[in-house]
Amino acid sequence: MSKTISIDPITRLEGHGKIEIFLDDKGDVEKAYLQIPELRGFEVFSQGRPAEDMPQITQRICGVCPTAHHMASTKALDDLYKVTPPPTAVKIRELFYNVFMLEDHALHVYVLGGPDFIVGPDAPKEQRNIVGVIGKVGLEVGKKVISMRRRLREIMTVLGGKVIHPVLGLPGGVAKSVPPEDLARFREIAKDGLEFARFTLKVFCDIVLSNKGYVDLITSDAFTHKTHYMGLVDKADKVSFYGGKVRVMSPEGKETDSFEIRDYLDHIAEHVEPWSYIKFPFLKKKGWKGFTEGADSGVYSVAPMARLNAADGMATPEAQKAAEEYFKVLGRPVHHTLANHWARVIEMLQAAERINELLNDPEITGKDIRTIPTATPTRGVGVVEAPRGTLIHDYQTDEVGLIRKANLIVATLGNSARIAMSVEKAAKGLIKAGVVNDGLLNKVEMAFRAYDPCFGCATHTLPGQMPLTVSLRDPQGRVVRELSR
Amino acid sequence: MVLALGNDILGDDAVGFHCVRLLRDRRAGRPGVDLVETGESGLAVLDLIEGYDRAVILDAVVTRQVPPGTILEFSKADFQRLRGSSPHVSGLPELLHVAERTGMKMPSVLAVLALEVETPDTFGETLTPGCQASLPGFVRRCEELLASWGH
Repeated sequence: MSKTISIDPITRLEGHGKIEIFLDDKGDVEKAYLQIPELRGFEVFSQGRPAEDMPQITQRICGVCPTAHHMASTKALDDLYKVTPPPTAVKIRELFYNVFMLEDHALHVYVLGGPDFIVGPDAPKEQRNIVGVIGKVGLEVGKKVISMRRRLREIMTVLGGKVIHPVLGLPGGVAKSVPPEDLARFREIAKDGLEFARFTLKVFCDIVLSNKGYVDLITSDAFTHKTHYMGLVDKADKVSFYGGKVRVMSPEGKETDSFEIRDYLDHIAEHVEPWSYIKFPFLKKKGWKGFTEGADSGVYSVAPMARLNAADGMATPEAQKAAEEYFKVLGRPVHHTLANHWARVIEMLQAAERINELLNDPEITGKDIRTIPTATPTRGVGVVEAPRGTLIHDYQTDEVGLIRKANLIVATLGNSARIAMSVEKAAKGLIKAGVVNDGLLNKVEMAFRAYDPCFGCATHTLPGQMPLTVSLRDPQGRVVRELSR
Repeated sequence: MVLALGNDILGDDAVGFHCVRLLRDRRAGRPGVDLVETGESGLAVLDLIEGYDRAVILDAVVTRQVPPGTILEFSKADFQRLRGSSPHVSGLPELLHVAERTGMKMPSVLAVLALEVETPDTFGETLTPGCQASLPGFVRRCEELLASWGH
């Protein structure tokens, strides 16, 4: 009798999700996948709206990474109106964006995904959270996280008017220059931000890397997939969060594709499965060959580990040094999903270093912050590296700039095929002949929590509403057994 | 303070915002209560409620365990009980615990009013008719709570 096991909803992610595991007649896992709640009606919602409203509208899609949507949308407007922002405007955007990356990554490391490692994967479940992190590394760290995050957000508030739903980006530039009187304070925050990133790397190295058990877990087969990797790189082919060209690396670490985002439809296509409304983007040149690994498969991955794999190195010196150590320990390219946690910390370091570079750049307080668009709009595509991977906004408009069609490829989707493979691999290792191993829930969750998937839903964090349940269903879809905690 | 959580372009998810907007009209000219809307969650919520003596948090929920329109209420005592109920929730209970341990001044009284809704996942700027019909009761319950605190 084939059965379906559902784990619903996935907790401690940004938004809600659900895992479906199908069993075959023998009770072994036939396939497993991650179901993401669909947000409906965005196309209709955006049609007919002025394109310049999109940076404000799209950032409301998600309460977690509004800045990524705001920036991708702003860049799509640059392309739509064929306008190049002045250098100061680009630097201000980059400053704002790196502050966001540092803050968002810190949230994941200390609050969302990191507790599995900082507290320990085998620690009692009640401790694998921020409370446990404080218990393990000390109250001072908790204070540091909260205060650092707040101070970084001060910079965002000054530049964007407000942290959530900023009003910074405009086609061809930004709305506000960096006030010279705030520069000294910003530099102070940036210096502390860099210290904070260094400290985080030390915490990670001390706790995780010095523990052979953790390293074995990271490199274990259950959490390993050899796929392609995608990320934005700068002119020197180094990791870039704000912009550059898209680069794709093969599982052997060879560049297989490189393109400007405007041409993405020639390089990325989306596969649809009958059992899911989630789309599975894949490399067009390779074609869709199923949920398979290897150089011939079109499956690719995004987010920190993929970004580090796709680039020749980090764009800043300390991050580069940290990345060298990372590749020395794990090999290159890195195929271990859980390495995303480590790569994320290295990216925190790059973001912090870049913030310092930008704030010490004489151009950052320049007043030339806008190039006024004059072209007639038709279509515009923008891209950034969101914390969770490559984020693409593509708008088509009429001649006065009203949206006809808006297509977003959100970051988590870039990992959807690989996440499905991770969930399936973990499930196959833990369910045999219908017997569900107790470690199932956490191991399967760990398999995809490392991707930091964001489901872009509304942000509900009330107590007790996110229990983890496993439902076994018969072929007719009836629940025959339910486990929950 | 009254703090509404939600997403203002996701239909019923914004019911807290609609409630706060009505409260703003109904309480016009009566100081003492700050009425705030936010699309944020997690640690950012702590920043917003820090320093207040008492706070009501409004939100939309989908538990599918109670009929739509039901108001679910939680207090700090519930948070004590519920903390750690699931290993992977970084919800208000844990965050409050962290905030208090790290010396942030959190409200001594905290209530959560959550309205059960059916469709918080469809883009739109209006509430569904069912949710709209539940709104007056949600506003009333919030006002009762504020009245019991002397507001």
